[in-house]
This record gives sequence, structure tokens and C-alpha cells, in this order.
Amino acid sequence: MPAMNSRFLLLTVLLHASLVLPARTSAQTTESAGRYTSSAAGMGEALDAILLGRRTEGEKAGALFFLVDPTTTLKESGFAREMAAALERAVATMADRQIAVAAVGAPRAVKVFGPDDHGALVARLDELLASPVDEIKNVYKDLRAAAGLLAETSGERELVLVSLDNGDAEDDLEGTVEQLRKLKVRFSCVASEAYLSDSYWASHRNEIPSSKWEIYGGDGAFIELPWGWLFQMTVANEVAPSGTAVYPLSRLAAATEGRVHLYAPPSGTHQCQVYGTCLFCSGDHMPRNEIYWRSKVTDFGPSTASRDEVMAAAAADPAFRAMLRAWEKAYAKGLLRGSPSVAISGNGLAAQRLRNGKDSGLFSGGGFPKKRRTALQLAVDCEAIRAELEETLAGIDQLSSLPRYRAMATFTLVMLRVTKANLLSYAGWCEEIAPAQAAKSAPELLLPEIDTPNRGRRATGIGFSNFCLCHGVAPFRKVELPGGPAFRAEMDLLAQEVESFETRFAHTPYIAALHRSGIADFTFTYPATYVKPPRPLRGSKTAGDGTTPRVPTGRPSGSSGGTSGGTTGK
Amino acid sequence: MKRRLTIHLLVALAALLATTGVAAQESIAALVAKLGGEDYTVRTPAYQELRTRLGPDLAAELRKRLPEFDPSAQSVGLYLAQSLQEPDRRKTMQAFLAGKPSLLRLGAAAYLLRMGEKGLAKHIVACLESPGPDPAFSLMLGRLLGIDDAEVIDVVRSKLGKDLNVGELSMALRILAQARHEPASAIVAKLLEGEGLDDDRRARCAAFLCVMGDERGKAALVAALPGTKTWSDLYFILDQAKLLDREILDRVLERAGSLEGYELRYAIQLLVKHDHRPAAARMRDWLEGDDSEAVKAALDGLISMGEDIPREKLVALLSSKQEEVSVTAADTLRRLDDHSGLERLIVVAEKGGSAAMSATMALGKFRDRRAVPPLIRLLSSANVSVRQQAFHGLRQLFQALFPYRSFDFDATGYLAAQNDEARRAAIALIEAWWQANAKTD
Repeated sequence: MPAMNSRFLLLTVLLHASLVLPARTSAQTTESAGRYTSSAAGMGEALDAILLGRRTEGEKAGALFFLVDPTTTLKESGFAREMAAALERAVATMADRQIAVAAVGAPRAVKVFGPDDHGALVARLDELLASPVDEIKNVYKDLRAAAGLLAETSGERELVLVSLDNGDAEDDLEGTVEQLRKLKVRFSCVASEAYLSDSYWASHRNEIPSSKWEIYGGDGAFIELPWGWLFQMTVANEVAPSGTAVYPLSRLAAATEGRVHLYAPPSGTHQCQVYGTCLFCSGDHMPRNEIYWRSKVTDFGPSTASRDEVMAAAAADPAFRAMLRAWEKAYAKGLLRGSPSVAISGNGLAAQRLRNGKDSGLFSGGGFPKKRRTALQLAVDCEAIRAELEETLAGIDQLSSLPRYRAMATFTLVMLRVTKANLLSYAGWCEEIAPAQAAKSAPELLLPEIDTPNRGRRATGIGFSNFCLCHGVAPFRKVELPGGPAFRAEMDLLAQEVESFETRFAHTPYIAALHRSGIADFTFTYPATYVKPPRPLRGSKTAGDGTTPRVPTGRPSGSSGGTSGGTTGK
Repeated sequence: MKRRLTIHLLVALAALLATTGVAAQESIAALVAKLGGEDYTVRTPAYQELRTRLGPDLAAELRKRLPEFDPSAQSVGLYLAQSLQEPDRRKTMQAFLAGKPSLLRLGAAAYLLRMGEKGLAKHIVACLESPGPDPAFSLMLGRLLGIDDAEVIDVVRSKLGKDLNVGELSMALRILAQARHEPASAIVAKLLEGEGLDDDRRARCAAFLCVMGDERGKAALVAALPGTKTWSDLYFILDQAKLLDREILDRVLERAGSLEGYELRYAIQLLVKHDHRPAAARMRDWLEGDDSEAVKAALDGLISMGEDIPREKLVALLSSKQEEVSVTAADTLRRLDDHSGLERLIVVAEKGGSAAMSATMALGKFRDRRAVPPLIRLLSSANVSVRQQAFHGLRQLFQALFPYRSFDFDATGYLAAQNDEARRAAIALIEAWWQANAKTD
């Protein structure tokens, strides 16, 4: 019986291996999204690439179908005007080509324009953009419908989605891929840049408007990167531009030999951090290693294979598996609020819904000595997870792992170090600063230093903000921070790791993600002070409006521009 | 022996008076009188000195004398009035508002409107209807930038016409472009279609239409740009465009070839803002020149566009004979996380030449303990602007180096405009704190 069991087990392993390994090889050889992506310097350049672009040799000129997503962002990009100018430049190549235009939401209300009707085409675009519709849309259903219409034409068929706000909500991506391939329709798009393994939608599922849709949101097929680290105000991967579009658009373009043209509005200037001001500059920092290089984006970019293939490849990737183990352990200890999006299931991966995070116990209840002890224990746990991951990664043959997963695992290693440093700083704050600030009597201070403005107020809790790592770790050595020698020693180790990371992954999205992470700055939180509202002024238009800002339309983590500006495609 | 001691004492007293500046202090009345003169070489130092004496006496003198001055002097005086402390400021503005239609009345109305007061548009309209002698109208328009009151915008639009000179037209169009005032487009397009406009004014009208997304502007701007004599006010209109056609940017790049100084800087900024890649090669040329404004803008532009500038090039610029260029190089290196220009900045700032103020400003941006001692020393600089920058820099620097502490630099009593004696006590406090808390690492 045991022998039978062993044979059965071996057979099972072999069967799984035979199922998984080819898939993994397939995913590895499938091109990275970076290969199918161009960073346009403006809408005009993107349209030039489409209108003046390649034509398969010997193929009869067919129809070009623009499926336009009429949103405010697209309107503000001057799309209609840029199309008029691009058509003028492409007079020769478009002389024998018809252009069809329809809007997302009404793909069958299509209008077709000949080479002499370009003025009418631009007028149609103006008409579509006159009343933008800024809501989450599933463009894939419309793409299938548009492809069906294109199939009625002869010659080369090209379907161009122009959407700066959608493309992440999907109903049947692989069905769309299959249909476009079957109908020999090449798919291209003008789209915004996605964020690196964007995890926003994992924690905002209630904002997805239809239960028939799924939104992953990031550049990859699923959320591959641990997110929501303890003591980080910003989820770094949710604000680090990826250098590619959202996965479904890259997938479609790659599967049909099309292209993704990334559009970013002009004047995207660098900001070291999303919230607050940078400790080390006056908002004029120019980190050159945040300028993405297309070759590096391609090397470390996401796969354009099918989602199943990508997940199978990840399951077989030793760096990903090691990172996933660390992710699960760190989550269990409360070092992360984002639970793993997938779990190892046999030799593959199974998708998992977000679980409720564990309370670290650092922000409420108990006195400072207890909080300090908790933080120090967590630092020990964090170090154990970090050391295990480090050891596993050191033992992995570099060639056996995808560059993307090696980068992600290394990023996780650095973030564990950052988290440990923050825990030591927190422990130091509990000992060196918090008791003195909470004391009733103020210490004697020499001007220009003054006492904390909150002396005597009853704190309701502990809060934090971040000093970003955009300038590296070295400048922190000159800054007075709590934590004593243990913290400073940890910062020295972090400095070495960050320096190595900056060298290895310069000009990739992982640098932007690291830079948006930070060393925590702890503070007490206080109840809001009631302020009597001002008497409404007679005749004032704003009386009664209050100061609550309007909820912006679109998605907060929408992929229209990141903090580090567009990529250069260098 | 007694006589020699007296001489020594007198010499020491004279030296003390010379350093404190007490001996040479002019009366506020005399300085305000100088403000009313036509010679800007006299007016400018008077203005700078008065900036250090903002108080009730100056407020009273401004209320008394400004109405007699010409519009240019009134404009300078308004800046001083805006800098007064309350309640002097409001009292002075109210006095101007009660006067006859003039730049002063309009300036006060515009100021109070910005502060949220109501019912002031009528004053502005009245002043624009009878502006008085040149250049009052242009100066009046300049005071209205950023105001989006419908009544004010309407009256500005009603003034559009070919009788406006280039400065007035530029300012009016800038106000209307800021307000994205659609009704002006038809009037401007008509102006452009008619005759009697020179290239400068044609370019401004065309630029306005481009900002408004009106297709009629592009061809006219492309045609007029090469013939324009002045550039900066055209830049201020174009800068409000969210998008600019590549052909226009090509012309801007061509036009930039004949610009220099701050005008060239504006052109570069516009090209960079719209990521006009062909400009990168020209920017490398400007980097080799000796126009410090152009070097600075080219450095910023190249880096913003992701172009590589070898570190050796920046380090070489550090030792440029033009101190402003070396300050720019040091500042650019800092922005690239390279602090190797710090020592050079200290030298330029402490030397006290024309680049001292910008060097001090750049020094204050270094979040580096090495910058603290020179900045403390610069609190005693003879140049009030240097002192202001040093104080501002220290304030930023202390908070960055000691983020868990709270500071109130104003509580030290330091005011850059004060006499040396009052400042010295404040500097001693800052110096003492630094000595007590400075740690090497």
C-alpha cells in the first residue's frame, strides 16, 4: 500500500510537472509587454505611429477602426485636434484607406470616413468628446463587437482602442483574444500607463460597478508583489508607473501583433513623495535613475501570455515562490496589510481574495513599554522572514527565475529591511520621545527650539508619516531619528542594500516603487478640534458649500500619470 | 595718553556706527520722496531700504505721498503698501480706495478683492474706464492677473482693440486666457483677421487663440512668431496652453536662437514643458555659452527630458568664472543627489558679490549639516537679501535635520531687516542651539 501510494504520488508529480513545465517555458518565451509598448511624446506622436505605421507587405489596405472612449482625460488631450493634424501628415498613407469611428458604449453606431472625409471625421470626434462619460467601462465587449464589424471588410484589419481611463475592467479577455485572432484583426491602442502590480482594486472591490467584470488593474496578469507594508503611508506599487499599459491591453496587443502607445499628459514633474513634503529637497529633485529605459522595462516587464500561463509560470518560478512564502509569513505577523493574491495549489497557483489584515497592536492600547516590546519582537520576526528569503534567493540559480520575479523578490527583501528599521525606530520613539511628549511638564529648551504645540492635550493614538527613500538612505545619517544604535546599524545595512538595489534596477519601475517607500516619522494623533462654522456671508455663492472637496471622477488609482512622469522609452 | 584713548574710542565708535548703519539712516519721508523720482537707480535702493522699515510711519507717508506720484512710482509704492503689517495695510488700502480713479484705487480694489472682499469690481471698472496717463492702463491690467471676477473680466474683454499697444494687449489677453474666457475668442479672431496689427500683436492674438484651443490661432502664430520683437509676455500667454502644436514649438525653438537671458529661459521652459525633443540638441549648445540664465534653463530642461549630462560637465561648470553659472551647476548637482558643489557655494555666498544671494538660496536647499555654520555666518551679511535667504534656509534645514523637534525661528527675534545689534542677539541664540545640538554623525 505505501509503495502504491508512493507510485501514485510520483505519477501525480510527473503529471503536474508535465502540465506545468511546458506552460512555464511558454510563458518565459512569450515576449514581455515592454516589447509591444511605445512611449509617445504626445498624442500626435501616438497617432503618427498608428496612421503612418507598418503595413504588411502585399496586404491590401483595409479598414482602420477607432474605438474611442470619450472621457474628460481624452478630451483634454486635444485628441480631435491632434487627429486632424496627424491625418494631414498621413495624407499619402491614408489615401486608400477608410477609417471607421465609434464610441465605447456604442460600438455599432459606427461612422465610416473615406480619404476625402477627414474633416467630417474630426467633427465626429469633436461630437463624441463634447459630452465626456467618466465612468468605469468594460471595453472588451465593445472590442469584440467592433472586431465583428471589421470582419465584414476585406484587406488588413486594424482595431485601435483610444482610451486613457479604461482597459482594466474586463469580462472575457481570452475570449476577446480568441475572437480577434480568429478574425485576423490586429489590435493597437493609445492608453495610459498602468502602475506596477497595482493592488488598488484588491482593497476597493466595492467600487467595481458590475459583478460580471473583474479589475486587476496593474501591469501584470495578477497582483504579484507584496503590498501594504507596515508604517508606509503610500502603497508604493500603486503609485509607481510601470512603463506599460494595464495587462489586458498589453495581452491583446501582443496576441495580435499590435502595439500599445502610451500617452502621458505633458508637464508631469517629479515629486519625491505622494503625501507631505520631502525631507531632503525643496520639491526640485531630479533622480535620473527614475527615468525608465525601454530596454529595462522590457527585461523586467510583465509577461503577455494568458493569465493561466502567467500564473503557471509564477508557480514554477523559485524566486516568486520564495517571495510568496515570505509574503504569507509577513502578512501573518501583521507586517503587511495586503494578503497574498494567490496561493500555491499543487504545482500551480490559485487566486485568493483579500483577507482582513492582522492588527500589529502598535497603534492602540497599552503603554509605551509594551508597545516597545511588541515592536522589538516584530523586528525579530521580520528579520527571520528576511533572512530566510535572503538565503533562499542566494541559492537560486539566476537563470531559473524570471527577471521580473527576481526584481520583485529583491524589492521584498529591501522592504523587509525598511520595515525592520521602522520597527526599531518605533521602539526608540516609544522610549526616547513619546513619554517626554506625553508628560505634563515641558522640558527647558533653548530657542529656536520650542515645546511641542500639543503639550497637555490628550492623544487618541499614534500616527505616522514617511520620509521617502527618494534620495537614498545616506542622507538619513545626518538626521536625528529615534532608535539608538540598533536603528542606526540597521540603517547602515539598509544603505548597502538600497545602493545595490539602485544599481541593479536603475531605470525600472522598481526604483520608483522603492523611492515612494519611506522611513516612518511617528507622532501622536489628537481629536479634531471643533471650530464654529463661519456665519454665511450674505450673497456668498459658496455659503453652505463647506470645505469638503468633491470626490473626483474616475478612479483614484487610474493609470493617467504617475508621480515620476512618463517614461522616456530611452 | 588720554587724547590717544579718546581717538581710539572715537574710531571704534565710528566703526561700530558704520557697521550698524545707524549713522547713515535716512528719514522715511526722504526715502519715499526718492521713490517718486524717475531715476530707477535712486528709486530701487530707496525701495529696498523702505522694505526694511515697514511700519505705521511708512504707511502714513505712503498714504500722503503716493497719490502725487506718476503711475510707475505708484506701482512700486503699492508693493510696499501690500507688505505693511495689519492694521496699517488695510487702513492704507482703504485710503487709496477712497481716492480718485487711479492705479492706486485699482490696486487697492484688486488687493482687497483677492483677500475675499465683495463689491469692489465697480472700483476696478471705474479705473479702467479712465486710466490716466501712460503706462497706467498697462500697470492696471498687471494688477488684475489672477482675478476671475466676471464683471472685471467683461470690462477687460471690452477693452480689446487694435488701439492697444503690445504691452496692454499682452496683459489683457493673459488675464482672459487665465480665466479661459471663451467670449473673447471671437473678438480676438476678428482682430487677427483685420489689418493694422504688427507681428508682435498678431502673435499675441494668435497665442491666445491657441490657448483657447481655437484652430485659427496656429497658422497665424506660426507666421507671426519669427517677426516678433519681444518674447516674454508672449510666453506668459502661451504658457497657459495645455497643448501646443509641434509646428508652433518648432517656431519657438527657432525664435529662441535670437533670445538671451531670462527671455531665452522662458523659451526653454516652454519647450521642455511640451517635451519638444528637437530642443535637446540646442540646449546642449546653450550649455556651452556664458548666459547664466540659459545655462540654468538648459540644465533643468535636459534633465527634465531625461537627457544625460555627464557629471564631469557639471563639475567643470562649478569652476566657471561666472559665479551665477557655478551656482547653477552646484544647485543642479544637489538636485541629482551630489553635494560636491557645496563648498563652492559657501565661497560664492560669503564673498558677497552679485551671486551671493542666489548662492545663499542654493545653500539653504542643501539638507546637509555642513551648510549650517556658513548659513549662520550669513545671517550677519551686509546684504539684506542674503540675510533673508540664510534665515529661510536655516529654518528649513533645522526642521529637516531634527524632524522630531519643534522650532520657532521668529521667536529668536531675528529680522533680516533689523539693525545689527538686534540681529546679533538672535544669531547668538541660533549659534548656541547649534553648538549644543550639532553632532558630527
